[in-house]
Amino acid sequence: MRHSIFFAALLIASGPVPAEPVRIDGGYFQQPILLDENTRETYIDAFYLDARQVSNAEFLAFVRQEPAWQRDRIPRLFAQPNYLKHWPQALTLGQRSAADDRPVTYVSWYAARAYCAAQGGRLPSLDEWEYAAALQRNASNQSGSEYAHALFAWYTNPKSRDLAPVAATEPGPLGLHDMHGLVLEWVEDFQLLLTQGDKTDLLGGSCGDTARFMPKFDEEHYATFFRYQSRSNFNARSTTSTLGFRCAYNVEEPL
Amino acid sequence: MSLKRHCLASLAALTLGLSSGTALAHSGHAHHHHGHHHEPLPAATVNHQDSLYHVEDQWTDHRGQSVALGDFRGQPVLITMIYGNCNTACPVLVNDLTRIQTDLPKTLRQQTRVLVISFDSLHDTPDALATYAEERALDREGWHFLHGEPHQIRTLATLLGVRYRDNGDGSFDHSNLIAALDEEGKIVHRSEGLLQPTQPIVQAISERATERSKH
Repeated sequence: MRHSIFFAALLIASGPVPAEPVRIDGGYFQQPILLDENTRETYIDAFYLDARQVSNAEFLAFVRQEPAWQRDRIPRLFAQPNYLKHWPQALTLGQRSAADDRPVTYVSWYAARAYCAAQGGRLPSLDEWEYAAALQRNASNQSGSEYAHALFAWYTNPKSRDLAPVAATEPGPLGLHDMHGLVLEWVEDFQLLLTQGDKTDLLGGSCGDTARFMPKFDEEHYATFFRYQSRSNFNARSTTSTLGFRCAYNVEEPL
Repeated sequence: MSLKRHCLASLAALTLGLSSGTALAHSGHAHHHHGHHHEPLPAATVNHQDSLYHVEDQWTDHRGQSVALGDFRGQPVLITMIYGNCNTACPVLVNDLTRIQTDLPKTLRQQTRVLVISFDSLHDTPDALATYAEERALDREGWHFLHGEPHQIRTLATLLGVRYRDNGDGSFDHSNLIAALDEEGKIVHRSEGLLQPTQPIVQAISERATERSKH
């Protein structure tokens, strides 16, 4: 608690504080949904992940430095027209979800990638993000049922008009804040790539369509599947009130 | 939980349905570890209103030269994405490029540039792409086989609506797509699938060129 007050004070005094990235150790990750007939297990190399989602203040600092990403200059190729629409002006933050300490939203995938590149990073891959979230959840005492209920409560009430500040709540055991419950996050390969042919309408889809992608039928997998499903509904230009991001960084190999 | 029971019943039905035939697979090289063929990933929707030449990434072609997409401004461009270690769909896509170029009116045929971009940043080095082009007699004037970094491959694929994933075994699942850009870098037409009729894409390129000559 003391920690977050300290950060809040710094934010007011000297602008955005760079989120201290958390090292995520490498390991095997079993994807929680079925992209093929079988679950895929992949090895995830160690990487760093921002402890917090990117805030409006941080994103403002970026567009000041790289004016091509300001909302009145960005090529339409890279974002829908409502890109950063919640800010009162192109270089002015506002109240509630447009306040400096709230997670930046109404950002496209292209803009999120450009931000991370400017910090010397990148977006996490889908597997990296899910792996980090799973690691942190395994290290916590949260039961599958508690996890599922928390996610469904959030899905049904995402509070998009009045988001909480980033890192307002305690981080999980790995030090990651807001992996679930604030805004959804862009990942590098956000599209749900189903080799069985994803011509099925996932959102309007029947229970049977959903069942094809779940290795296990419990609340926990259903809650996780919803996250994958909602990502597949975005395209790279999408800008919405409930979608932000955090950055990842490669671990430099020792020589 | 009745939901669960319903899902299980549906799953069983779907599993039975899924074993039916697959069309021409896109990644059937010898080391494919799944041991079965997938359908190609369907292409995503894209923006046709704005020029792809806003992207400034530098690529290296099979001649070892550094190129950006914007270098091709002023001519129609045909683009597809493949990987070298792909023996089924990719050669067909490349041959489809030849078919389309051949069917263009003579002047446009000569103007059109052809870009073949590899998904496989690791293996498809400029040298490997040079060998690829040479072995298939595709080291033609106006043709460029491009090597890039993973992030720029992802950017271009996303702009073109080509979906892909690295299977981690040297193979990629991907959409089969050929896109035509006009002289300003806007997408005028996308042809999805293999061995498609050339007429729609040829017509789209020709019509855009005619429109432009009137202005």
